[in-house]
Amino acid sequence: MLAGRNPSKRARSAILIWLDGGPSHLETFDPKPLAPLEIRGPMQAIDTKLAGVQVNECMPSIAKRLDRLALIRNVTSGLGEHNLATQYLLTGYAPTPSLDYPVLGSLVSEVNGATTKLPPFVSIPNHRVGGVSFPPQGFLPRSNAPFETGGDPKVPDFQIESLKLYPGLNVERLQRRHAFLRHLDNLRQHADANRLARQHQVWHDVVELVASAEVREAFSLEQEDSRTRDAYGRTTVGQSCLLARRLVERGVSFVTVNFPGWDTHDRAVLRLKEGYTGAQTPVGLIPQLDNAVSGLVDDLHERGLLQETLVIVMGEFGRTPKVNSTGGRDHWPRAFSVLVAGGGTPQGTVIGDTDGHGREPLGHSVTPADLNATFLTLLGIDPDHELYTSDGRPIRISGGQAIRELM
Amino acid sequence: MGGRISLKVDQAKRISGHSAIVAAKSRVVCMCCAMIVFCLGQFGGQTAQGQDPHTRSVSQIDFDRDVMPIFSRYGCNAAQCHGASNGQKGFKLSLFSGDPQSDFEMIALESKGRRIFRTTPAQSLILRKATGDLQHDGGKLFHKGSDAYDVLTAWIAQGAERHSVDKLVRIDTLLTKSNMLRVGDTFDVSVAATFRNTITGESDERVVTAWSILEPFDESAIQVGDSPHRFQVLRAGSHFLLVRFLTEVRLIQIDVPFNASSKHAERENWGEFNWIDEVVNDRWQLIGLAPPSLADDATLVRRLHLTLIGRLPEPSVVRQYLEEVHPQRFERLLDSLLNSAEFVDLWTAHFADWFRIGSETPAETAPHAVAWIRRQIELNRPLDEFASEIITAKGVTGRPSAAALYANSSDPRLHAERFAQAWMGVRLRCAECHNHPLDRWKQDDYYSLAAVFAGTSFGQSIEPKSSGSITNPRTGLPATPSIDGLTLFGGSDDVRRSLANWLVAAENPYFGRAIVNRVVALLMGRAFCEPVDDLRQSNPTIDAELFDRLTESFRENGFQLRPLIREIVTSAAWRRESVLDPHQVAAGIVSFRSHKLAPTVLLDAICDLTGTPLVMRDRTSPAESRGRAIQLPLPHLSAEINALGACARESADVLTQRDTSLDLAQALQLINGPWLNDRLMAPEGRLQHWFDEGLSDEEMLTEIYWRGYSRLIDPVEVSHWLDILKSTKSKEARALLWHDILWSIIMSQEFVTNH
Repeated sequence: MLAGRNPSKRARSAILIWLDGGPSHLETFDPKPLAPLEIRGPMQAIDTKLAGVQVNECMPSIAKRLDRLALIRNVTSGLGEHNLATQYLLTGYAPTPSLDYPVLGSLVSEVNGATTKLPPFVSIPNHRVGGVSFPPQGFLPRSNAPFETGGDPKVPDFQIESLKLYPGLNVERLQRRHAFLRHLDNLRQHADANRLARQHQVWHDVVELVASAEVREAFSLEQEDSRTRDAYGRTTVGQSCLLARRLVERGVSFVTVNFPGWDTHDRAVLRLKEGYTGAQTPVGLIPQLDNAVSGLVDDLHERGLLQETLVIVMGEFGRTPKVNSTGGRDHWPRAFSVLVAGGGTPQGTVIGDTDGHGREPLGHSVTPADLNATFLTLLGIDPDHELYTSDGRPIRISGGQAIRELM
Repeated sequence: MGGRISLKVDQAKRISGHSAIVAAKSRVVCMCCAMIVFCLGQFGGQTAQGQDPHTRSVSQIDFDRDVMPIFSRYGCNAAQCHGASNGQKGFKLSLFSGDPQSDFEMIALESKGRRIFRTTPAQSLILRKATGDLQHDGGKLFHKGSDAYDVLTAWIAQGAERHSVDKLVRIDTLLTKSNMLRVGDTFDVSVAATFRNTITGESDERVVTAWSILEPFDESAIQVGDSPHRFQVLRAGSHFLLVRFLTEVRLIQIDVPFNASSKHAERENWGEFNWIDEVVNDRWQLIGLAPPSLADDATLVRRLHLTLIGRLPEPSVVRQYLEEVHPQRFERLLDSLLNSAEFVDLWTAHFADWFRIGSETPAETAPHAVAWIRRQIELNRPLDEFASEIITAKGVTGRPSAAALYANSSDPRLHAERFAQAWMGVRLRCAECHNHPLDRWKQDDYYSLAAVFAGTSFGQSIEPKSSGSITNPRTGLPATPSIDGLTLFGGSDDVRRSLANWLVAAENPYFGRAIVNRVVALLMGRAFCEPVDDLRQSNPTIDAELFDRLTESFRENGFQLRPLIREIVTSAAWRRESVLDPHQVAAGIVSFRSHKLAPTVLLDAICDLTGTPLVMRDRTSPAESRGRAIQLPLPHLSAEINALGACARESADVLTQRDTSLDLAQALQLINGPWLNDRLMAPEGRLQHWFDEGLSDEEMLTEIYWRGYSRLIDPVEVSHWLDILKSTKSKEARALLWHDILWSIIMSQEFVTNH
C-alpha cells in the first residue's frame, strides 16, 4: 500500500474541477485580444493581478487572485475525440485497446488507501466524463473506483441518495442483515477465506458508511453558514466545490467535481457567458466557474488547507482558434490551458505560451502525461514507481515528466 | 503441444530399472514445448557435454553465446535497469537480451565506443561500472577476477566483435536427487544449452547453470539455497521453478508428496467413473493425498443445473432425483440438461463473453451477433466449423451472421489480438509495441497476423478488399500475412481462409487446447492454465497430461462441445465436493472448485428465489417483456447486473480480472438500494405470497432452503432461525425480519456460488 509514497510530499489531497466537453482556452485562460475578430471572438479580455497576463472578461474573481494561482498555457495532447482525450488527460496515458489505465484519483486511492470512514476517492456528482463510460480504476482493483455522490449539491435538502435508508430500513436492520449473513457464511468452510474476510469487511464498511454520523456530517452542506455557501455561488459546481472542501478537510484523498457542458460548438456567448437568453447578469459556465474556483481557493486559504490541497481545473482539450459559423468553436487538442492552485505549487506563475492565435504552444509544451506526473509528484507519489496489472505486468504510474517550474 | 519426449540415454536406462509408479513420481516436466526430461537416480556430475564458458576464457569468446548471458544473469537488461525502454543514463540494453545486435552496437560502437577499451580492457567503462570502480546506480555486480569479469575482459581483448555464429537451440534442465523430493530436501538444478554453429551446422551442448536465472514461482514452497541453483523444499504440493537462459525459458514442475505412504488400498474408494479419473487419481496418489469425497446428490443436482444451464433447479426436480433409484439417473439428468434450451442460453452467453460482445459492440449489432452464436449452439456445430465461419465471415453485419462478430472494431490489429486470444489462447498485445523476449510471439508475428485481417474491410458489411496492408513498425514495410512462421496466401480467396484452415487443421497445437482450457475453467472453476487466454511457455499448467489427453479426445470427437462437456462432467473429478482443504488446493490437481456465479446467472437466481420476474426493455421497442438476464445481448447495460459484479466481457483484461469481490458502491446498492429491496418486498413476490397463504415459519424456511440452496434444511438451522423469529411480536415485525433473513440468504456464499 505504501509503496510509491514519498515522505516529503506536500499535498495531502486534491480537488479536480473537471470541465467536461473541452473548455475553450481562448475564452478562459488564454485570450488573444490582439488577434482578428474571427480568432479573438466576441468576448473581451481583462487584466489580472499579474502584469501582462489577461483572462476572459467573465473571470473577474479569478483575475483578482491570479497571483495566488498557477497557469499552464502550453498543454498539448493530440487527441481530439472526447472519450479518448478524457482518458488521456485523466490517466496520463493515451488510451490503447489492450489495457485500461487508472485515473489520477484511482491511483491516489490505490497508493494512499482509506484513512477514514469516508471513501478515499469521491466524485461529485458522478464520474460520467468523456461521453462514453470507461472504468476509472483501469487495471487497479475495483475498490479504487470513485464513490459517486449522485444528486445535485445545489438543491436545499441535498443528500447522498445511496446513503439514504431505503424506506422501512434502519441501521439496526442493516446490522442485523450483516449479522445473519456472517452467521450463514460461518457455517460452511470456504476455499478462499481471505477473500471472504475482505468481502465481510466491505459489508461492515457499508453499514458503517450508512450509520456514521461523521459521514452524514461530511456530506451535509447545511452545516455551512450561508455566507460561505454564497461565496462559492449557489450553483451545482459551486456547491460541489464546497462539498469537495468538506471532504478533503475530513481526509478524503481525491475529489473530482464533474462540471459538464463545455462542448460549445455553437452559441458560445450564450453558453459560456450569459447562461440564458437576455440575462442581465451573466450566469453562464464561465461566471459559475469563476465564482466556484475563487470561493474554493479563498476558503481553503482561510482554513490553512491550501498548502496541502492541490486544486486542478482542466478539461480534455481546447477549442479551435477560429470561431465557426454557428458562433462556437470545435475541438482543438493542440493547445490548451490548465489552472492549478495550492498543494505547494508556486503562486502567480504562468508557464508556457501559445502563438498569437492560440494555435500551438510556443517552444516547450506539456503533455497530459507530464501533467499527470506533475500532479502525482505534488501529491507525494513517485511517477516512476510501478504498479502491477492483474496478470503481473509492471506499469509505471506515469510516463511523463513533472513540470519543474511547479515543484 | 505435440510434445516430443526426449530422454538422455543414460537416464532412460536408469528409469527402466524402476517401477513405473516411481518413475512417474519423480518426473520433472518442462511445461513448454518439446522437452520433457526425466531424471532419476544419482546425478552428481555433469553429464552434459561441453565446457563451462569460464574455463576457456583463453578460447574464442562469442558475444551472443558468452557475453549476452552476463547481462541477463546480473539483471543489467531487466526492465528496471538498462532494459527499460529508455535505458538508464544513456545506456540501453534490450529487455532480457531480446536483441543481441542492438546490445552489441550499444556496447561496442555507440558513444564512439567509449564503453570499451580494446587495448586496456580493464579500463573499459562497462567493467569499471559493473565492478563498482566507478559510481554505478545499479551497485557492484561482480568483482575483478570473477567469471563474468574474465569473460568480458577476454572478449574486449579479442577485439570486441560479434560473429553471431552460435545460435541457441534449446535448453535442458536436470535435477540432482536420489529419489522423489520430500519436504526439507535440497536439490541442485543444472542447465545445459545447446548451440548450433550456423556455419558448420554442428551442435554443441554447454553447461550454462551459472549464467541461468532460476526462480521458484512460490518462494514459500521452494526456497533458494546457498547457491543460486540450489533449492530447498519447504512444503509439499505441486510447485514450479522457472529457468531462463538468454531467450529460452523452461518451467520445471516439482511434485512434493504430502504423505510418504501411497494409499493404494484407499484408492479403490476414490471413485473412477471414466478415463479422466485414472489420470487424476494417479496425480492424487502421486502427491500423497486422498481427493475430496464425492459430493452428495442434492449438491450435484444444483451444480449440474448451474454449470450446464445457469439456473437453480426446481425443488421438485431435486426431490425427484433424491428419490430416484435408477442407476443412470445422473447421466439422464445430464443429458436432459445438455439438450435443453437453457443450455443454449448459457453457452451462448459464454461464447459472447469470449468474443467480447459488449460495450465495444454497436448496440444494434449485438443482438445479431448473439443470435448467430445461439443458432450454432442449437445446431451443435462442431467448433472447428464454428471458428472457421467466424474467421472468414463476410457480408452484412445488420442481420444474424458471423459477420456481426466483427462489428467491434475496424482495426485489423484488434482482430488479430482477439483471434489469438479466443482461438489460440495466446496474448499478442505486448508484441504490438515490443518483443517480449520470454515469449515466442514477436512484434513481427503480431503484424503478420494483423496483415491477415488488413485485407478485409470492416463496416456495415465485411468484405475482402483488394488493397489493404499494415506496416510493421520494426521494418517500416508492409507486413506479410503469416502465422506461427507460416506464410499465408489468399490466392483467389480471402487470406483469412488460409488462417482458418491452419487453425483447425488436425496438427494445429493451439486450437483444441485453447477451447479445452476455457471449457474446463467454466466446468471446474479452475482452468489448466490461468488466465485462460495466456497459454505461454512460462505460465504454469496443472495436470499437463490430462490437458493433452482431453485435447486429443476433443479433437477425436470432431471438436464437439457437448461431448466434451459430458466427458468432463461424468468424471468423479467433477462430482467431488469442492476443493477446500488447503493441502488439496496446493496439490494443483483438477477437481471441482467452488466459484462465484456470473452476475447474469446470479440475477436470474435472485429473480427465481424472490419470485419477481426480470423486466427487460428492448431498445428498439418500448414494450416491456419478461425474460432472463442470461439472454441479454448486452448485459453490461443493466444496472442490476452491474451491482452484482463486473461482466466478464467488459474488461480489456478479459477473463483475467478475478476480482469477484463487491466494491463499496455495489455493496451499498445491494444492502440499501432499491432493486433488491423492492424484490424482497414485492407484493407479487414469494414472501408476500407465503404471508398471504399463511405459511408457518418452518414451512417458509424449508421452502427457501429448497429453492435457494437446493437442499433440505438441517434441524439445527431450523431451530436457529425459529429462535430469532419467535422474538417478533407483530405481523409487521415478522415481515421485516423475513426480508432480512431472505436478504442474508441471497447474499450468502452458499447461494452466490456454484459449489
